[in-house]
Parts: sequence; C-alpha cells; structure tokens
Amino acid sequence: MLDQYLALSIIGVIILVLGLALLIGKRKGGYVLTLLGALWLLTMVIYYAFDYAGLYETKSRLYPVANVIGVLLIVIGLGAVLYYWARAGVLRGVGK
Amino acid sequence: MGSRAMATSLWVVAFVIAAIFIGFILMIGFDILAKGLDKPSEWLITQPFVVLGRDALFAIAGVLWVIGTIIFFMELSGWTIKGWRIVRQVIRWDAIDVSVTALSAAVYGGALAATGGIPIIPGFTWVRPANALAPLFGILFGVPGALGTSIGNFIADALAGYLGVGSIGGFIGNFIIAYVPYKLMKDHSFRTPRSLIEFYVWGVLVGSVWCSLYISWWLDFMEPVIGLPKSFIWGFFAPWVIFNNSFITAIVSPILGFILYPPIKARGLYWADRIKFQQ
Repeated sequence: MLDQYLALSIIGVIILVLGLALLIGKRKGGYVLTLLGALWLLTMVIYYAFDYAGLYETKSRLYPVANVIGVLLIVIGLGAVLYYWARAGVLRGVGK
Repeated sequence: MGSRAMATSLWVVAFVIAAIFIGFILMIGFDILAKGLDKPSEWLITQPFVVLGRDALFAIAGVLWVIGTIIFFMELSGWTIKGWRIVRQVIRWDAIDVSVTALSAAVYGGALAATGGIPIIPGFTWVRPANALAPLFGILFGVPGALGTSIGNFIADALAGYLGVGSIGGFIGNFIIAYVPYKLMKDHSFRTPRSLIEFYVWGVLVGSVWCSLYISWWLDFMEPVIGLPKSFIWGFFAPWVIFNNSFITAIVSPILGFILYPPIKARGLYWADRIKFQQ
C-alpha cells in the first residue's frame, strides 16, 4: 500500500502544478491554487524535517520547537501580508 | 412596547441565550474534569454518542460528510447556494483574496502551534485558544478566510505530530467551521442581538458538531490506513472535538468579532463587499 505521507506529498505536487499551470495560462484561481500547493508542500517539508530530527518521539522535544515555529509563522505571515496591504493601499481602504 | 424597550428586551434575550450556551459548555468542562480525562465514556457530552451507537453515528456523519465535501468543492469552483438555489459566485481570487487566505492560514496555523501543548486551563492541555479564530475568518473574509483556516489546520497538524491521511478530513472539517457561520448568519456585525444569537447557533453549535462528525466519519472510514479504533473515534475524539471547538469559540469569538468587524469592513476586506453573485 502507498505510504500515506507519500500520497499526501503527491497531492501537494498535483495542486501546485495545477496552480502553476493556471497561473501561466493567466486563468482565475491560479494564485490561490499555487499558494495552496506551496503551503501543502511546506507542511510536508515540516513533517519530514521533524520526523528526521526525531521531534515526534517525545512531546517534551516537540513542543518548544513547535511553539516557536508557530510564533514565527504568525509574525512572518502577518508581517508579510500587512506589509503588502500597506503597500497596496488596502490599509487605507483601497481594497474596496 | 416602545422601540427602545423592544431593543433592550432583544438584547436581554441575546445575552441570556449566550449565557446559556457558555454556562452549558462550562458545565460540560467541569463534568469532564470531575469524571477524569481517562473516563470519556462517563462524560456528559459523550452520552448522545453512547445512545446513538457507532452505526447510527456513521450513517448520520456520512450524510454530513457528503454534503460538506460537495459544498467545499462547489464553493472553491465558484458555485454557491443562495436562497435555496445554486448560483454562480464571483470571487476575484486576486492578490487581496489570496493574501487574505495566506493571512488566515498563517495566523490560524501559527496560533494553533504556538499554544499547542500548553495547559491554558489546568488539566486541559488540548484546549486550543486559536479555535476562536476559525469561525471569525469565515464570518469576516468568507471563502478565502475559510480556505485559510483549512490550510492553517493542516500546517498545525504537522507541527503537532498528527499529520496523516486523517488530516484531509481536518482540512475540510475546519473549512466547515468557518463556512457554516459565514453562510448561515444573516448579520455578521456582532452588534445586534440577532447577530449574537445567530453566532451561537451556527458558529458555536452547528459548526462545531458538523466539523467533529465530518472528521470522525473520515477517521472511521480510513481506519485501515490510519488505525484509530472506532471506539476511540466515537467515544472520545468526536465529543472532545465538539467541546474543544465550542468552548473557546463561545467565549472569545464574539469579543474578537466585535473588535475586528469595523476595521475589516472599513478597509473593504469584508467578504460581502468583495464577492458578487450571479442569478
């Protein structure tokens, strides 16, 4: 039987390729599918990295690392989007 | 009765309904603490599951799974249900919509991971404060926010060591938590009695139960691959997810929604100002 993590990785690749194809063809939905595929594969990278580092073996090893990555994710994600919104004028209401 | 007195009584009714929801959820929490985390079969919240039994639950959850899955793919492919009809909806999926999805994913996934494993309430290691954000992202941002919630939960699964084929159920299950209040609440402002009551019915009760049954059905169906015992899925996981989702959502989300609605609406990011429907 196909390994479930390999199956999930393949799904991520399919979504990413589909998203890139739509993006290249300037079709609607290309951006969001590319984002979905990229974040899906990022998740798989996190899984394989944690598994390789043995972080899943005990909760005491997993949690400080997972907590820190969680905080980084918020700071970087929120920071990047707010920076983009500030530049695009969304924060001044241009998104209307 | 004057309009002012009428408005006051409506607010009283809304607060009483909110208090009943919160009180009931707190009672369930105290009941779990009193009986012990290791005795899920004795919990009050588990009793409906015990009475119905696995086969009936699998059948009921199966119907909800099919409906939830159809809605997920329909919404993402540009169709929606409006006024009992299937209509075309135009989500631009431009840079702003995609950035809304990215923001929801990063904040929800990050917050779930950042608070994971921390006993926010003594004895409740797995109470997830970030759950309060899931219905809000749907209510405020619509489908882009709901999709971000799905992605965020998927990332959090990897960070918590739960990633697997079961996470596909969690992906759509979390979409449903955000989608149900977005779609079924008529007033998203958190500024009227109606808005508050609608939130407790759709955002707290229906969203939590549907999400739990959706994921549980998938875990049961995929048991040969995932390996979770059916007794664990329906006797612990399903009631626990309902409690876990509704607990924080009932207490924190209305406050956050009240604060966040005006700035998001003012900046043109509220979903109703961005999505168009074609009859």
